[in-house]
Amino acid sequence: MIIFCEDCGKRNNISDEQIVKRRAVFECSECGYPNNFALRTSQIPAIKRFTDTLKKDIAKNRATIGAFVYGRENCIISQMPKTVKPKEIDILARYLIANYHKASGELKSLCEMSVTIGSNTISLIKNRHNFALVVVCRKNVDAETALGHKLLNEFNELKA
Amino acid sequence: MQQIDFRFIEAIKGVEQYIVTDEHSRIIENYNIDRPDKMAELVSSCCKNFHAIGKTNFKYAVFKKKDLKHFIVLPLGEHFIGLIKHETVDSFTIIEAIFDFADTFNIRR
Repeated sequence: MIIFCEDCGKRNNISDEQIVKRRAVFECSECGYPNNFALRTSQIPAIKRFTDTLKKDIAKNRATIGAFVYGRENCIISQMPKTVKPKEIDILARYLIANYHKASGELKSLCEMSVTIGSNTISLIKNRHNFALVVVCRKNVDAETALGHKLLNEFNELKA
Repeated sequence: MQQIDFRFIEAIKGVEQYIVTDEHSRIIENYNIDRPDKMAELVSSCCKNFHAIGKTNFKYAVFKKKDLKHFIVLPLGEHFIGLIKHETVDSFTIIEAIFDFADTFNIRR
């Protein structure tokens, strides 16, 4: 992945092994500066790969309006239309997650929640690392139909 | 408030259990639902929250379970319905049957 040197700003192509506990640890190929700094969540290789795949899937599937991944307290991946403001994503995520948690307390083996509003369906899936994937689709399409098993399996393993 | 005989839900193929509540989580009808007080509270709070997101456009919500006995919640008139479906029946078939009933009797949904 491409990471810029903190000292000289040179682009460095670093490997997954040079990411240690969410930190980029490498010597700059240009100036030799020993970089060691925390990555943003969106820069973590697994999350970046998932974001790229999600982006491609949304672009090719006309039934999908957008999707985002919400962590413990904030949105870490957003592929929602630009007209949707970050604050709106935040409010939507909090409402959905609160309902999901409430329902999971009463319903055993809950695995997905989908809410149909008008002709759009908003689906929420949580993984075991406390990430919530929210997918907004047209025409009553749920997350599984929109994104497919492969991408959902990838999401289930996603962690920071 | 429009009076609705909710026992029509029992007759829909694939409905195993259901509960009907008002906006204050009071139980109007209960058919085989375990822990009805808790479920009534869940149904009315979910419907109210989804109304907050979608305003009057909220149609229904499906809580999917691994055993395929999904839990469906939807508003009907001034009431909220929560039902558990049989694993072999499609959720949308049941939802459509409820919507057909609502349309026949001109009940707001």
